[in-house]
Amino acid sequence: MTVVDLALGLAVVVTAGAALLPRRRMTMVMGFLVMAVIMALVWLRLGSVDVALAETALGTGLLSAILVLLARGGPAPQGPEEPPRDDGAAGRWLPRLARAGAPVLAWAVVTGVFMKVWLEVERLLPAWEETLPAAMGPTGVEHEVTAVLLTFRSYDTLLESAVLMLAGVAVLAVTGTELGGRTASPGTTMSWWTRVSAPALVVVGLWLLFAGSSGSGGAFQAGAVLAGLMMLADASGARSLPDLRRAMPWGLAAGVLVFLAAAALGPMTGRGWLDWEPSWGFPVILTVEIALTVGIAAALHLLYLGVRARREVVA
Amino acid sequence: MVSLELLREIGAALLLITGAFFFTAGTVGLIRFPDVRSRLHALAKADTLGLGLVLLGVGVLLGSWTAGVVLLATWILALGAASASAHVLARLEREQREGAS
Repeated sequence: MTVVDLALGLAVVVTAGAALLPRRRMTMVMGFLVMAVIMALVWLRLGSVDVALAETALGTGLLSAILVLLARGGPAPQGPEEPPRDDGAAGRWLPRLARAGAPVLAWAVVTGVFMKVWLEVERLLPAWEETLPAAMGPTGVEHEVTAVLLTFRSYDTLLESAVLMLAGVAVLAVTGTELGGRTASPGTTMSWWTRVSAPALVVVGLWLLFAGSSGSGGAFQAGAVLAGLMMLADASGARSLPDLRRAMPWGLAAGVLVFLAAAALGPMTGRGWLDWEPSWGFPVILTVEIALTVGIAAALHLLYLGVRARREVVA
Repeated sequence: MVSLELLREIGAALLLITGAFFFTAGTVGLIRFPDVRSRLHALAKADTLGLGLVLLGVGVLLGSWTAGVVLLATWILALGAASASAHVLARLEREQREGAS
């Protein structure tokens, strides 16, 4: 299957060029998003289903909303105007074929990536159950999720959540008071649909949190899904949903603070930093995971609100 | 002797190919149709039907009721999302046209 790998590597390079070289911002954004989809496929080929899932949720789902908003807010393109579309000329079948074929190809790739991700998830979920117990011996904890989240990569997770919190704080500092407005409602159909689909999205987010294939991946992916739900509610102007904006700073701080408190449990009971009674593992991990999900969702939603703040707001 | 397993796989492949055909038709319509509403029509109808056929094919291929229910839920959510987003876009198009004239 090296041909597939070579083609994927080449596609990453080509789409990276497509993300960097064009003059129009929207074209660059589209190139970047296609690259994110191909990167998800690359992670899948490397056997990292969790990273592939996170890449799909964060890289293509959330980033697309934020980047498209940013690209729309940018200055007009500097280059010469695009030539008007020429439909009549015969013998120009090659460009027309390319124009028609490229989106078809893109959709085929996107559909393929999503199908592959889901089918592989079905097949690969139990993989960590084989390797992890073998490495569990010297860690001194019993719960596999505990081991992954707080023994093998605890500092990683803590610092990741702290970075996200700082990004959210920066958004709050820059656009503080401008976050208050509500978006004009795009019609009753969309707000109705948002209300209907919100419970399903909440269930998906909580499922990712509680039954995600690895502990740390669960919190980040669940946070991404919940942030997407809040983004949808904001864009649809659904007024019967509670206004979550005032809760954002608290949610932002909750993730890191709860994590730090859990880390301090160790020294308080005479053990090391980020190390506690194995019997406490499950409740502590669950608490940290829930708080982390809240913090991540708040940070991601704040990033969206900060980008959106200056536009489209009806006071 | 044609086994039941082979029949199932052939049926699933036919569903997948038909779904891909509708997807392609919807995409061609999105590119070739002249105005916003025709394009929305191509996207919301042909692509959603294509998705349903592809998901049905995947469900037959997997042969599990759990997967089938999840795929059905996926399709229902996609149906709602496609209709709602098409409605919002059509509304925006009407507002822009009325604002311009």
